[in-house]
Amino acid sequence: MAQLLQGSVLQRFTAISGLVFVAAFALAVVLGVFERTICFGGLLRVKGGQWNGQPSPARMAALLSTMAFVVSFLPKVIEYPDEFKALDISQEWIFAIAGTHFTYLASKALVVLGRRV
Amino acid sequence: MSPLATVIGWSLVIIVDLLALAVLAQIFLGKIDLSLLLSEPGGGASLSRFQLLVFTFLVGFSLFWVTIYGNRLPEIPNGMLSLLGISASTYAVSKGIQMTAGDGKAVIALDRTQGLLTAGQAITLTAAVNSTSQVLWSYTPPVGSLSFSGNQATYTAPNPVAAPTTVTVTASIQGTGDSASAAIQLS
Repeated sequence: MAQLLQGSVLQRFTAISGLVFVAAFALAVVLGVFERTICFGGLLRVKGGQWNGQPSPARMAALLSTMAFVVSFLPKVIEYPDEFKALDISQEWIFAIAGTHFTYLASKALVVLGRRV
Repeated sequence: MSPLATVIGWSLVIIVDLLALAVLAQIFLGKIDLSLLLSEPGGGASLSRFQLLVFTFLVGFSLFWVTIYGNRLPEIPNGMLSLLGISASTYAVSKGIQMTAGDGKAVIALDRTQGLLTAGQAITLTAAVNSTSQVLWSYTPPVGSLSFSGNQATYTAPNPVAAPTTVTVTASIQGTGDSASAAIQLS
């Protein structure tokens, strides 16, 4: 009982329960995608306009930059949790992600404008 | 940390954890529907939603993980804030583009989707439409009365209510298949 009244135990329990919740929610999403209860079709295809249904390079680039960043960042956090502040995301990664996302948005806007003109 | 603060902290954590547990249970039991979590309005998966979800998981997992090891809330790196900003902005701009496009469809929504009435009571519903098309009102089963003018309709329950029932009031846009409904329970 006395141990439970220590703030450090409370903090650790809170963090662990938060981690479990995030992991369980992620698991629910992954299961939903694999069981096809969550719609995942057409993620990399152009929607609308004259290229409707065609593979979209802009979407592919945005997805690759997102997943590449996750794959490179997450192992570092797991391995060096004490140096989290030092694991600051480099400008190169920020530019890569911002650039690919901008390209994706620009291509989406072009499709919409093309449809309306 | 004082004992009182720790007790309050435990109470809050237990409440939040129970809420989280309830949400998870509902998700795994299929009562919270995640089928459209990644979908765009026009169909198909949305890349902006997907990347926002992935970055949210990444940041959430990282912060909790670091907190467990450091036993304190970590200082959030500026790069991570930039990353979340880019991610959320992409989603917001993407939604803006979709709203601008409107996908060529008229969209209708009601200001309330349910109500509870007793005998003789009335409820007013307002339809929001993104076009100048005429709104058509209907209700089923034919119990009570419905008066309407433009985007507003007033449903009045019968007096007396013969039996508890649910009346569905529907607003639809003329010439399109789009509609919105409100379930009015009579008791």
